[in-house]
Amino acid sequence: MTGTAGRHAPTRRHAAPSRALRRLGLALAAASGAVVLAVVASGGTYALLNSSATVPGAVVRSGTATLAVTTALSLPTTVLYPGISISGSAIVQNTGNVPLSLRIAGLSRTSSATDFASSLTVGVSTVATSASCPAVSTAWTGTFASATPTDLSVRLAQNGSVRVCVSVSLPVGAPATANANAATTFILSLDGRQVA
Amino acid sequence: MRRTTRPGLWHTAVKWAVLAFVAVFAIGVSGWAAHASWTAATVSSGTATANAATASVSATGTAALTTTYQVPVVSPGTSATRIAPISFTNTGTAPLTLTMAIANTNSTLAANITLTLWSQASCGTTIPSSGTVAGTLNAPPSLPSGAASVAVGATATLCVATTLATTTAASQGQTVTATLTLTGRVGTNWVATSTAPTLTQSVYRVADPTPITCVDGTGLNVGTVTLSWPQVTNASQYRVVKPGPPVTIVKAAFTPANPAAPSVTVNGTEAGILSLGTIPVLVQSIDATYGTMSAGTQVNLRAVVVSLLGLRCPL
Repeated sequence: MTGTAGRHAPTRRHAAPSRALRRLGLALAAASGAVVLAVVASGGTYALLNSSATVPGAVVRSGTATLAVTTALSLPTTVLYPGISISGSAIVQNTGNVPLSLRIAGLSRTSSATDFASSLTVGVSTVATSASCPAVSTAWTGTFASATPTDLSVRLAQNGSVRVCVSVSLPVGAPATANANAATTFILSLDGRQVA
Repeated sequence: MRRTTRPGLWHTAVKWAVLAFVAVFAIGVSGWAAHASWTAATVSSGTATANAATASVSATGTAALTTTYQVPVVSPGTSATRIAPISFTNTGTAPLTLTMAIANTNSTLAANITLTLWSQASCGTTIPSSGTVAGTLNAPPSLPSGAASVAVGATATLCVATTLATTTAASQGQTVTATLTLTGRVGTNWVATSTAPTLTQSVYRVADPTPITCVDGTGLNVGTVTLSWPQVTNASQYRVVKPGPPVTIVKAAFTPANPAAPSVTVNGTEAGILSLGTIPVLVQSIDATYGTMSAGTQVNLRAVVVSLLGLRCPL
């Protein structure tokens, strides 16, 4: 048999790189397809980059996540002595265009520190009507020393609103030094997280 | 020649696809996947105010219980009892439960004064037959239910009756001053107190004869002394004794010939003189109406030699 190695060797060397490239391309294509399949199968979401552009005859606007207190919190002027509580409510509305889950973001005292203030317990619930406030059980309680941000698990659809009931209690064992103290003023902070 | 078998292109692609699928799927279900969501800016509820109450109370009217018990031996009537209202006013902004304590300066007499309490808008002049609680001025009872609490801005009226539980004679001349302290409570630790004006209660005792005038006897009466004094209110008789213990009678109880100007003459024998020196005697008033006797006014007579031992007035 006549040897053909010398004559055919250049052809074999040119074929090797193209084969490798084809191999790489095929692998990439397969991997991409697999990625798509995997994402869909896992139920994950992915972020898409948006860009806005104005084209004749169309406007693309960004969505908003906003809350508003349409009725501010008002408490009765009844004085607190050990063993009683007072309550009032505020109305919070979703003024954005994505559904939100309402959350207690914080509780802050705006008046001077007193033994009276430090003895108070604040409770928060959501109720259907003002007559239902105070609620039998509270969804959240805190003090001015300890107020943990907590999701209330209340879904507010776009334009939806909810009545937030706030109670303020002075325990039976409040210290004697809290007697006749100056009034305590405070603010309850709320925010909302986007939900499906 | 042996042919070596290399993996084909299809096999390679499948291998990479499977690896990619597994990796991405795993990330997707593990939660490591990134989630983008929006958060609405924090809003304020608005400033709310909580006001603190004040626990405060006052007690008044106790001074009206100041009295002197002067109870006749015969037909005591109601003169052994004193009745007056005491007012407990809530001057704060928290409802209070009330308790009362009484401190006194004479526990002996305080233990002999009965304290009866009841709650009534108008106390009247007699102790009701029901609805009362009783103790003593030394150990007061708990407040009756009608006066055991007081609402904000309200006044609870406590009717108090004090009664001398002994005869006037048994407690004559004693005095006690009592201080009532009212305590109002709300919760475990909030306490308000009020100390009411003091009340003083005494038991009647006939007054001493005073001043006493002493005149030495002369002539046949030398060695005697005549003592005289102004009439004592409520005194029906008098007597002269040497102070003890034991008390020695010098002149037994007598009714003066002239009640408006009582007097008595005492000699050495009656005085029981045994030696020279000072002989102290007491001149006492005796009151039969209330059964009391005064402590006595002391006169320091002198024992002198006047042929026999006799008496002289003080120098």
